[in-house]
Amino acid sequence: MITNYNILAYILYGMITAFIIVRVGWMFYINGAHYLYDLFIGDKDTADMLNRLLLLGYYLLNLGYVAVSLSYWPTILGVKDLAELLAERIGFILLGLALMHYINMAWVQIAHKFLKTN
Amino acid sequence: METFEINQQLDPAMIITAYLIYLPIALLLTYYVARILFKNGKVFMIDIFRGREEIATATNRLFEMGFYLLNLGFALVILRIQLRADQLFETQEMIEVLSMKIGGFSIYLGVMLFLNLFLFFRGKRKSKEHQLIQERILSKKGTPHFGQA
Repeated sequence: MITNYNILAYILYGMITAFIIVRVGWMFYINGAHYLYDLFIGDKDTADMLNRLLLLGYYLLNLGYVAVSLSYWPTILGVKDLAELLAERIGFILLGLALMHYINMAWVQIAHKFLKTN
Repeated sequence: METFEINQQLDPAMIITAYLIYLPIALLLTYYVARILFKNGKVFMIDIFRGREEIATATNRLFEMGFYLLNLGFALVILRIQLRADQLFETQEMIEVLSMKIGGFSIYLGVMLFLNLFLFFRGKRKSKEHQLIQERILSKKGTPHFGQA
């Protein structure tokens, strides 16, 4: 007997966001490698280390957030509410990923300038 | 943020229809704009990175991913149609609300497009400046300076 749609919501939310996070994270890792190699010319080890650390931090932060946020969903009684909440929460995750992405690109540039002048 | 007023005249099927109209249009628009922007942007990137194709493609892909994340996220977050307790949601309302959402999102995409174009141009200018500085250094090395070691 199904009392509410919450479990369905959690499954859909978890699967979709996990897929997005893992895939996007991996693509950032692969493409970011080239970007970092260019930034840290000749210093391939620093670039690799930074890349790996970013990937690890990214997974921890994002997958952790998805897991924790499962406790904070309201009770979903209808399909309309299910669609709305899913869209809102998944969209929020995407926005968070975008923000993190741009901040990462920015501070890597700044770190590079700092390291260059020292 | 969540209101729990019960709207007596609300037909969930109508709202879900509206969502099913809005979502594909918003996603397609995002895909279309991203495609055009980053297909043509690749040429720009190759110019900025002075021929190094690998780093140009990688940077282009990074910006493209950021673009998708940002805009798909925004499209999803504004999906929700919030109605007052006494508001009808018949065909007329649906057309008005959808026009508002899709139109607003198009304007937003246009702004994002121009912002990205601006960033491309800025990158090109910076790369040109770097190139000029490097050429100046190289040409200075050729001329002898008296009084210097």
